[in-house]
Amino acid sequence: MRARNILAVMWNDLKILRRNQYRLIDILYFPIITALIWGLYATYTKTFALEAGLVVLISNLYWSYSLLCQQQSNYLVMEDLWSNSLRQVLVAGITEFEYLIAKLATTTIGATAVGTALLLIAQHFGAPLFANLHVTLLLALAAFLGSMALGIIVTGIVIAAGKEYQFLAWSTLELFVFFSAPFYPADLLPSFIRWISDVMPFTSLFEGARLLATGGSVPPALIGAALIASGAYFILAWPFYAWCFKRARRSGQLARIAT
Amino acid sequence: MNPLILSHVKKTFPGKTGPIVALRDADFAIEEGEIFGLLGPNGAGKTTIINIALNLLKPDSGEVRIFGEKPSPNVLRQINLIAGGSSFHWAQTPKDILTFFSKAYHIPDRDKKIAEVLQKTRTEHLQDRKFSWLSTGERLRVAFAKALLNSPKLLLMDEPTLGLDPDVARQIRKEVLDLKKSGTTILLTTHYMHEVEQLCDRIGFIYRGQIIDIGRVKEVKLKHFGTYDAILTLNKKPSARLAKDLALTVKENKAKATLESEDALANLLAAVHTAGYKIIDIHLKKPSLEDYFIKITGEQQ
Repeated sequence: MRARNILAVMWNDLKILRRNQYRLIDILYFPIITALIWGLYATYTKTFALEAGLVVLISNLYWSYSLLCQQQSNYLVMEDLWSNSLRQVLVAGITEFEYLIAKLATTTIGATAVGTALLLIAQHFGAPLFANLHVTLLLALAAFLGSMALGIIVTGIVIAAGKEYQFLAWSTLELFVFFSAPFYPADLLPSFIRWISDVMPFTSLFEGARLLATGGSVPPALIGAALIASGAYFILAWPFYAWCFKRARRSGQLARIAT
Repeated sequence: MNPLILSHVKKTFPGKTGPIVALRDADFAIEEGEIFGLLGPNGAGKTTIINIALNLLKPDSGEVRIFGEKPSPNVLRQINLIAGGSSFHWAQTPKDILTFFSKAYHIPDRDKKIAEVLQKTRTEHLQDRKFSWLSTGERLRVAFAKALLNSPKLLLMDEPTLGLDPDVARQIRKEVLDLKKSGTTILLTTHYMHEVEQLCDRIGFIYRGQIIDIGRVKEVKLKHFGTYDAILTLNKKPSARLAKDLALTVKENKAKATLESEDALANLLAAVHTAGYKIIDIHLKKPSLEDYFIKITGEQQ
């Protein structure tokens, strides 16, 4: 693993972002518009359902942030596939792990900037996030790890199975969020699917976000559960990615997809 | 040390109606400093060999060695690739591309090297233009510039002149020869037979995943055709005796001989001259590599 290779890929991605400014719109536009819509909704509900408005606002912010992390990490890989330039990168002696770490690091830069903007917007609309900043940030870390894990898994699937599976970049998190019960307790889900919510990386995170919105204290055990669940996904995603790459090298999919 | 050795490499891909054999038993070595042409029809296994050498594809069995080592990131940094239709991100400029790859190849004096390859490939005027705005020929020149960045000891060229106009293709061929002069070993896959005849020291013919012929271009052609025709235009009609002695087919003052070697041509000319004839014109009808390609694929079907 060489830091200079990772930095080279990051330099390249940031340069492409600078030259390809519609992508910047893509990164900023959706999360910020989402935050503004639900911020206004929270303002509207302040008089008759203050907590409900804030629950929707804060849960949506964590959802948007997670979506941003997962999709941007996938888009950075996908653009190399769409431009047929992945082969050139991989034959320059950059390993698949250096490549992926660079993509995640570049995503982190964007996610940090947008995450800060979302925090400020939420504050403007009265969400009590700064009052519990350490909880807010720990839950954001859980969202970051869980969504990056999904980004890694989707990248692995696309590399092993082909470009046809790129639709997962747009759809995977939605399914995970559905099972993670973002605006309501997981108990409301039908019992036969409730076990799925127990193994989702975001279930404890959204539960913590709801408590944060209603002004209640978030138990450290819940924060720990959110971090452990998303951390476990993040750790397990790496061997899965390695396995996908190995499989793609054997099946010929890597040569096909990279060219 | 051989820049590239493939030892009994086999590769199959899964197919709907059963496994597809891409390489049956690829076994050959490239000599240092040569241009080795890998020929074969579409789907014969040429690109599979390149992908295996580049570690993008793992063979089912057999071994690949690049300068004596298995393909690895460190080994890959010593070689480079130019592929026909080479592509980079549409928003990048050639300068961005070269800067990125010079970082990836750990080039010490980056700016100097980039200026050098831009000048060598005559792409200085394109350096700030977005890749999507470049023509096919210009894109290949950028790919060429990228390939020169790390002064590769081995350059893999996968159908580099595919889709280029003749003028650009000729310039590229000239640059390939310049590279060879500077000591770079080149593996070239192409469909263009004249390109192979002009550039390659040796060729390997691959058909349905198997190298079925390997050797110098002349040797391979001679092996398959054995003979060639020499048509002489003389100052007068050759006598029946001369025609019989030299096994000539005569039509007015033209005589056609079927020969087996370069020596046979010298002997023929000497015999005609001794018999008192003046040779006005000589036309040799040697089989082209294209004839060879058609003959070989015909024989194998």
